[in-house]
Amino acid sequence: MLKVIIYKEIADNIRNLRFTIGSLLILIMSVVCVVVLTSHYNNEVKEYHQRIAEQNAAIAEFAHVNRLGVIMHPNVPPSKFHPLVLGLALSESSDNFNNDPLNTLFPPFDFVVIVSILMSLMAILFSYNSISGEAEDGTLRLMLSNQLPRMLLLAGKWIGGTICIFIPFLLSFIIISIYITLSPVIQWESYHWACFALLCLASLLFISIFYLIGLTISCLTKNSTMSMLLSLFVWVLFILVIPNLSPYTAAQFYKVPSVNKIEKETGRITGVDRDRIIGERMNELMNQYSIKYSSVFDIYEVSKLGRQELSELLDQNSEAKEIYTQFMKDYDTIVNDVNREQNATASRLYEDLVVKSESQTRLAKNIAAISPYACFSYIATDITGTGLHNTEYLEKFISPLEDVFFEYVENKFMENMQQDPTFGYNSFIDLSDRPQFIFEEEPIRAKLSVTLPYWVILAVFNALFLSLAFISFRRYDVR
Amino acid sequence: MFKTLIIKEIQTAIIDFRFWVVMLLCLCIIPLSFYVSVKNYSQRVSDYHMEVQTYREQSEGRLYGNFQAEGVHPPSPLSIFSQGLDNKMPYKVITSRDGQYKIEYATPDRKEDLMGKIDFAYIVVIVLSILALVFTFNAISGDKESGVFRAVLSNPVLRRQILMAKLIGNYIVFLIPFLFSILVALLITYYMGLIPIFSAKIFPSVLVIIGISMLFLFALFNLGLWMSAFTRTSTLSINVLILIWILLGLVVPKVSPIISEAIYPVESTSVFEAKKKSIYQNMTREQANEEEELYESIRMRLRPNTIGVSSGWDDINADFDEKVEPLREKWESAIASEINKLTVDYNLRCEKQNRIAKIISGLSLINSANNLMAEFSATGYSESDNFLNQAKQFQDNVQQNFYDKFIYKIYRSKGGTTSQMNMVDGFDRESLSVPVMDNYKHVSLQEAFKQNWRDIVLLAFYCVLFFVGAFVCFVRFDVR
Repeated sequence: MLKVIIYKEIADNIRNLRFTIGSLLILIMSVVCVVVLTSHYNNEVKEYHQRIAEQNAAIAEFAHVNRLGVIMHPNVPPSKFHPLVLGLALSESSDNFNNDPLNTLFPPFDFVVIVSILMSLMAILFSYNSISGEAEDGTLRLMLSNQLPRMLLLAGKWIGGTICIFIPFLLSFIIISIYITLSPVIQWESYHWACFALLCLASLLFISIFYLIGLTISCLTKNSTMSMLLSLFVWVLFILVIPNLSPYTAAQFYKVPSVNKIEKETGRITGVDRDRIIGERMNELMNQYSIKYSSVFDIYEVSKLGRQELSELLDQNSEAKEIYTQFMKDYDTIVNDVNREQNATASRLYEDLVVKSESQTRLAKNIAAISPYACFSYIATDITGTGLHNTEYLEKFISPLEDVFFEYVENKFMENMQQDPTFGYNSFIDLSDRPQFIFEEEPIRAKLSVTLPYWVILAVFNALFLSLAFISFRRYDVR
Repeated sequence: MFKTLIIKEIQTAIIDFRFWVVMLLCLCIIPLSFYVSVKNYSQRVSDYHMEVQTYREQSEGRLYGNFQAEGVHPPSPLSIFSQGLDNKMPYKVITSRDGQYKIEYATPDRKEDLMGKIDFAYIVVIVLSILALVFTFNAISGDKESGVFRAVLSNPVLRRQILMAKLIGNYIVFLIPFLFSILVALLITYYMGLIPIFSAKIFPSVLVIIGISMLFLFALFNLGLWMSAFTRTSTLSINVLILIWILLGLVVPKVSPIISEAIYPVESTSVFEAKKKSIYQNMTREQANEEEELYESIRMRLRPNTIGVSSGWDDINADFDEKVEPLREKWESAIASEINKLTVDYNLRCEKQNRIAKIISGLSLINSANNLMAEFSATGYSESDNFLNQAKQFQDNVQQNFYDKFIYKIYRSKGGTTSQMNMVDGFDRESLSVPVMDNYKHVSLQEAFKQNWRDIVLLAFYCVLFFVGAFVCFVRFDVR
């Protein structure tokens, strides 16, 4: 019996005009999206190689210890998922502002948008009149006058409808896979395919939620116009309103000082304040020396001397030389101490800011997770390494590599120093055998564990609306 | 008769469940979005002041010839209506002695980027546009289904009167919650005190923005009526309308830049900047080489047994100063004209591409409304151009009042370079003050009108077009 109902539901849906139009729209949009984004990705890859070449040229020409900090920042390759999911990538290329009209006024268009806006709307359009429409037509009465349990009827409708809504999705999924395999630009390995499969699984879960929302609402209302309105209203809330409000709501709960302010503050602490403190301590030190060693020389006079005069003076007087060496040592200690103290204060301030803004972001994410759209887009961006989590991962991944590199540079510098004492901070170091920066993607297991709560939320939404649909259909008045 | 029809439409619309949905949604999110936007604006204003203040503090006592003056873009108070491109606008100009001033762009907040913004423009263009379609989708097909038309049309009523009554009645009912919640939102903004919303400077723009949103919603009402008269059943009409909404709101705005890129490709800004930089570097290097040769030749003549360069060799330097002048003038004008030619050419091509994209995106009224609101809130493309123009002026000002007060001399030889920086004779360095970009003017209402009147006319044209469509379809509508 169930099989008959499912067949009937599928046949009904497929014959409907909205199925043809919706499927065509989704197929065309997916193809356009993947083709366009691939060409963007191609540009990105080219620019990445150009950047690396520039960096290598710069290192071959200007590798001084003084400059390396500026030259040597690791280049991360563009994510291999950019032909499908842009995530946060668009916000990085603000240089393209002038060249990219209109793009910036509307959200970026990628696979995630197709699934979350087009597919969810289509799912709602498929299901909003599945019960209330039949009740209006009177077919529900006829069906239920047979020996047919209500639960079986609803189960058949649910399964058949879900299969129908999955058909266009799976079709576009297959076309995208074919395109990706054939495209010479995109080179995916099994790792990427696994992530892609997970992305599709999440999409299916997400679409099914919206089908169930439509089904539930249609079990709650008497006519199809009403159920259309209610489902659209819920859709607007879930897709357009709640996720967009979340960052602002989070900002109200959790105040974060502005980055600018903190940067100015730290700049002041390590700049003006540092100089002032060093000056004060220097004065003290000079005072001490001038009192203690007034018999040998006047430290104020000596410190004003030019380099040549000073060395002449010190060569003549061995006692003065000793004292002066001691003085310079003390001076170094002061500078180092103050530097360390001020840097520590500044970095404490900065870390505090980072911690605060991270917890704000987390709160915003959690508030937005009320909406399945947000959950889905977190899963999609985190799984494909284009989301907020990925920036954290990158930081963790890069900083030890940077440490390794700078340790290498220091060793190299020391080696050179030993061979040639005149070797200074501005001398060229040969870095041709430097450790190369090779980017490794985060393992799937880690990605899954990060997104686990969102998977659970999606599953819970499914279960919730399914049980709601069953409960309300039990009480449905078919007259 | 017409009056009766309108009153009937208003009454049926008000008792309908949809009216309460719109009321609830408008009253919740419009004031909320204004509250949030004003908070956001106050944050940006304080950031701006901080930026200017630190710039002043850091510049005190550092006013020498290589000083880089900074001009910061102040946020527009109207950005509470539409954030537009604010997150990606040119944000800061850094002047330079050699005239190659730099423009810095704002870095967008990543949190908001992932989920999007919620300002007045977004609410009108995305959320209320769906509700407007929902308000009208069964105005005609629904009445036919429920048999109302047969009863109504058996009386001596003109079809065009019915259509007009439906349009006006529903529109009025829709405007009630919309305008009421805007009023509440404006009062909230006023009492928050940061933005003098009812002042003569801002209020006209506010009225224009509200007018644009009303015009936009009116066009959507006409569209809804048209599709309702076009289709036989209300289910079909809502399906068609949602499809159109997706096309207009998602597909056209996204596809238009892609199509224009395909029709008229222009290299990306980073590629262009790299090209410009390499040309500039090559030319300055050549100039430096020529100067070096000149210096060498003078030195060989006057002090044949020396090498390198020194600021103490007054005889050589004086001779060099005299002879290098025409050389530098030649090179400076050559560099300036080359760079200028490149930039003008590039900008022209970009502009052409943008124009194509804009024409294609004009197909979508959702897009033009969004654009218009950003333009009138001084957060659109014209504001970005406006800042770039004023940045150029700022550079010129600083050049005139600051850099020209210094005489910069540089001596180059094969062995190295030395430079001197002196004040112009009789000029007191103490009288220099930190150059600040004050009196910044956002795009004014008149300018915005001048640049965007076509889009407004286009919106009005859409209203007329959709109404004519609805009229033609309804006249031929079979009410049986």
